[in-house]
Amino acid sequence: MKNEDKGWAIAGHISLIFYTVICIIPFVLLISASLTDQNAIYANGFSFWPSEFSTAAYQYIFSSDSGIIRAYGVSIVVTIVGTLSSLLITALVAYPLARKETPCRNLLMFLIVFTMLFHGGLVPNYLVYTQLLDVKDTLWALIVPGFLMNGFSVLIMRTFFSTTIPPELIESAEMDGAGEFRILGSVIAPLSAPVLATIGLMQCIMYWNDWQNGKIYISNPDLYSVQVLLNRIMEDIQFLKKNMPAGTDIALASLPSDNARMAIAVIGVLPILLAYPFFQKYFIKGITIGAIKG
Amino acid sequence: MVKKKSLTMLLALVVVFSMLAACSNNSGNKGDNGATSNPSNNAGSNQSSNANTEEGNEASDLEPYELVMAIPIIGAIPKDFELVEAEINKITQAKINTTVEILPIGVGNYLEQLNLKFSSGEKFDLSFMFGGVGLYGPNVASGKYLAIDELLEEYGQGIIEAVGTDYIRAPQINGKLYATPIVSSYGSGVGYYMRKDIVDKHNIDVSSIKTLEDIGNVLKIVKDNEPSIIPLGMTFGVGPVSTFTDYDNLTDGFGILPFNSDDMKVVNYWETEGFKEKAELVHEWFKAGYINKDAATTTVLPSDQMAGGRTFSYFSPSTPFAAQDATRNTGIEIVGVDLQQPYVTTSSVLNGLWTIAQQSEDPARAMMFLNLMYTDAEIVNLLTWGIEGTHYVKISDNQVDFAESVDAQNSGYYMYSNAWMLGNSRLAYLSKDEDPNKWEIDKQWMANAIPSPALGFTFDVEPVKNEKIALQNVNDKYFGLLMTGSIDPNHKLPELLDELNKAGLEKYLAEKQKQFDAWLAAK
Repeated sequence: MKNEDKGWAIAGHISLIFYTVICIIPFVLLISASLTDQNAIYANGFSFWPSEFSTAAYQYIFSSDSGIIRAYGVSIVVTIVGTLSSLLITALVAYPLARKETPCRNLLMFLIVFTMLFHGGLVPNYLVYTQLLDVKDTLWALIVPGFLMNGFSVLIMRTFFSTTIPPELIESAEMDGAGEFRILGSVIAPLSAPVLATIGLMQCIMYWNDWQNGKIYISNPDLYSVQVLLNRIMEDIQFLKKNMPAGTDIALASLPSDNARMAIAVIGVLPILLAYPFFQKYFIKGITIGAIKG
Repeated sequence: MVKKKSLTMLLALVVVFSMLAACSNNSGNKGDNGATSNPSNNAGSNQSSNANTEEGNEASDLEPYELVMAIPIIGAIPKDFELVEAEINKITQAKINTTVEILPIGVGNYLEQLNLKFSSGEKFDLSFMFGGVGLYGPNVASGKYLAIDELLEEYGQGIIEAVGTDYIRAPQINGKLYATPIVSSYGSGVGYYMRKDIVDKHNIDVSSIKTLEDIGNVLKIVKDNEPSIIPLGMTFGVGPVSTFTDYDNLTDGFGILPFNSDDMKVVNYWETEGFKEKAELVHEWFKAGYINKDAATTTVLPSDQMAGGRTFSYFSPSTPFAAQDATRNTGIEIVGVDLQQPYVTTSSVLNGLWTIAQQSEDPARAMMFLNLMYTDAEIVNLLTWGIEGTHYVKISDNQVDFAESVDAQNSGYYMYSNAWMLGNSRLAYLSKDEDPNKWEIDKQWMANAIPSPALGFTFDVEPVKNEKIALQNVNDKYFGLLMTGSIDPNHKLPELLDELNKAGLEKYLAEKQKQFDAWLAAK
């Protein structure tokens, strides 16, 4: 019996280690490429160890005219403001929906789930956000569309509230004379740390990694976030190589080289890598509790 | 039990729908290209255009108008764009009482942004379109562009003069003009470019290189004597087969017209002897190790491969200045040979196009500004070089250099890689590295150019667009492999032809022939 367990453990470890290696290899390649001399990349391709060590890519990034420092600032502001406001809004939607006494809560819930399944499409979205809300070329364009509140987070949070917080608790708080906001702030919120952290992390990653909103709504280079900038560079290169309009050679020379693109990607993933360990202990707890009866 | 089952079914349905929703969202980004145009703006724009036609052309008679114009930007968007825009507005206000809002959009994102502007019907007048991406025809078909025949006649005489009467009507579709071509060489030859140090080292006589066989001999010399260098660098789509064109691709290459065609018959390029011979030759080269092994998949441009010291030579469409430009861009001295005299086809004229959007509130004004972009050296210079003194200084009558303590990296306005898109980029000053007589030389070179018999014909893909998609898929599957010699044409070519036929090539060719015959008859 014991041997069998050991066999399982070894097999499990081997497959997980294998999987981990597969996940890590691209990162190694990425970091190595960002530290390789550009001409060496042209000549030898990418390798796991820089064939010709060079920090030119990072010098380029941290020089003022690459625009990356600024983009980094935009990313940070958008991520912080976006995560906090979306967390607030999601919680304020999910909590009443978890309370049985809310009128029409099934209808409201249906509407929210409906948006998870069906989209208006790109052009109607564009029309609403540019002509009705006028977010084009503002920071709001990176915060509002698609992310500020999404059905999935509401669903998880509502399930968490309704399964882990006994209605009796709310009743007793009421008896003690607490109002609705007091109950939410002093009783519910502290008990909901796992789910808040989970949703917070998910939102955080979504905001940090988003480039689509930037692609659609932002044309002012001052408002590019890191991912938008990186995506723009990649798309420009792809377009030029595919279509080869006149002036392509000169144009490609003016775009960041391969190693610079890799370096942008490296500094782009860094914050998420650093944030992950802090959230991880809440992460699994939050998502499994929220998932019951999801 | 039954209830549980139906619940499971419901759940499965929901999952399927959510997947479908995700799919449709993806394809929607592309599909929207043709689907949604905004008809509600049509009426308004027509009215205002009529109203304006009655007005005169003098600035004082014109109502103030704000024009919105989109231009794709290759590379970083210049920091001082707004300063330059303000300078341009001073000129346009004086001349046509118009201010221009120029929207610089990153080239990779350009087509999608354009599409959003057309679909949403927001205020929008003028835009640039790449001829090579194959969207001009479809955009005309879906009514995104305004027909400009009368406007051009009335307000665009400068454009007609700058482009030349031979070429101005090349973009017409079904007898109507929807765009003006930019001023450029219009034709292109076939060039072969080599590293000068190695050419000298092995005493290769550049002037004797005339044919692909000659090049084969050169490649052999390099292969035998320079083991560390790949003789011929190729990238997906850029090689001897694709560059060496002796035919008009008739818009998209499915069904072509050989330049020496007697009977004006549209033929399948893949079936021609010319293609087979070249494909076999390139495959020989590939087997002999003359070509980089990753030619079919790499995305590193041949000139970059050369700059990295990996390769000796490459093929490219030629201009009189291609070798010079390549030397400047790569930092390696490069010599080139022309393998074929330049030809002019509809596709080569349609390199860049300026169009007026159907939702334009004042198309006449858009045409007036367009006319300035083809005739007003001040505006073209502002857009190309920025502001004199701030961004550039003149060093002779027609040459400029960066202003003091400014270079290509830190300049607030450096649009050299974009200048060719402006209406008439030849009005701008040349850089100090360029031949002061550049345009004269170009003119002489183009005097030898031969116009394709099908110059001015644009294929309307609408009746066979399903076949087009199927054909394109087949093409994508084989193109890189055959063009780079990575697979044996004797083995794969029959397979390709078979798949093309299954994809409806015959119907496609028949439709193209029909349109081409009609075009010939009208001519």
